[in-house]
Amino acid sequence: MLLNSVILVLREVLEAAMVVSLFMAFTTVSQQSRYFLLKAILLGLVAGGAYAYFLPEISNWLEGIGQEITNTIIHLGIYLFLTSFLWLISSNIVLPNRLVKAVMMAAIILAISRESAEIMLYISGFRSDHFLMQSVLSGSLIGLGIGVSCGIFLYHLMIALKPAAATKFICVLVVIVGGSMMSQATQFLIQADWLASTKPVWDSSHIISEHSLPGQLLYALMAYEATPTWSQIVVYLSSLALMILVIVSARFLQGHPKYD
Amino acid sequence: MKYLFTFTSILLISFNSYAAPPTFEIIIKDHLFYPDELVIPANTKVKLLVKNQDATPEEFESYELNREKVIPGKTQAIIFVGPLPPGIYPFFGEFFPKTAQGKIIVNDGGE
Repeated sequence: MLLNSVILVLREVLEAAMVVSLFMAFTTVSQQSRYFLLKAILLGLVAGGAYAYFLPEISNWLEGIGQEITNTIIHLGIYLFLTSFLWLISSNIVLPNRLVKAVMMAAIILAISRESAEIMLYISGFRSDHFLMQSVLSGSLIGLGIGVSCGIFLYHLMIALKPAAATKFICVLVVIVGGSMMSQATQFLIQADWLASTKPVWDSSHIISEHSLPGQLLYALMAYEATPTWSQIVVYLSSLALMILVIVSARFLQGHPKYD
Repeated sequence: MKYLFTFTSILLISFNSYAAPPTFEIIIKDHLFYPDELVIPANTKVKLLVKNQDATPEEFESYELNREKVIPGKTQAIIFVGPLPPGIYPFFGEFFPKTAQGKIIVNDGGE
């Protein structure tokens, strides 16, 4: 049970830790207070608690696919906030701008809400079993610890760079996380049967299995899928392209001030 | 008028069942799946009705089927699967993976 909890919690924490550490690094590079990020983390946990609490009802929405649609909206929301973040900073609108702060906070709240809801539900299942609860709690704490450490490692990796390089690196990672969000959103729409399920385009499970550690890490980083469908690939690539287009066009508009 | 109503309802219900994908039931009890081997037809979309009879939540997960869904205790969930080529697709309960293991066997039909 212990190892189980470690893996489960780590898987959930990694994704959220990545978003948080990216933004932490960005505030450090911008020499701004990180207090608002802490507020976002707490709000995210509250939202996650609410999501976990109402999950039985939410699951029944839309004839039983409420969970899939809610998850799609959360992932789509994260993508849109990350894209707005890229637009703002590429237009040289930086911290302590309120809009930049709001966009960063919204992305963190959404990212933490879904991941923490799953952990809370998991742990709450052992309420009546005090014996198992102990190992589940210690396992979860270890998982949380490893996940947070990975986030801290990533954070230090980024702030070790020169500010300009760090910002570029942050943008690249934001694009990767954004693509991953859209790929997962597509997956949930297929599961809900709102998007047609088609045959996988390839099967790379013999190279990197989703069961393996590299597969899990790649999943957390970029929603690695050993058997993706066409719709996932198309959505993934177009969301990456859209984000890059947003960066380029914001820079272009920035570089050509209007004189009229 | 009454007959017309009955006739229309029967017609509508039959249309509905014609359009709806076949449903297969899986029960979660004591962190085990019943059945733990489910045979479904190839190249057909099916609806899995997963009933969690335990008090604890479970997450139905399968890398091979690309599905993941949290099923709170004492509730049921629907998961659409397929159309799939013939093969074996394992699934597991992420919250209790030691015991909650199962597989979907996609059969070519005919046999």
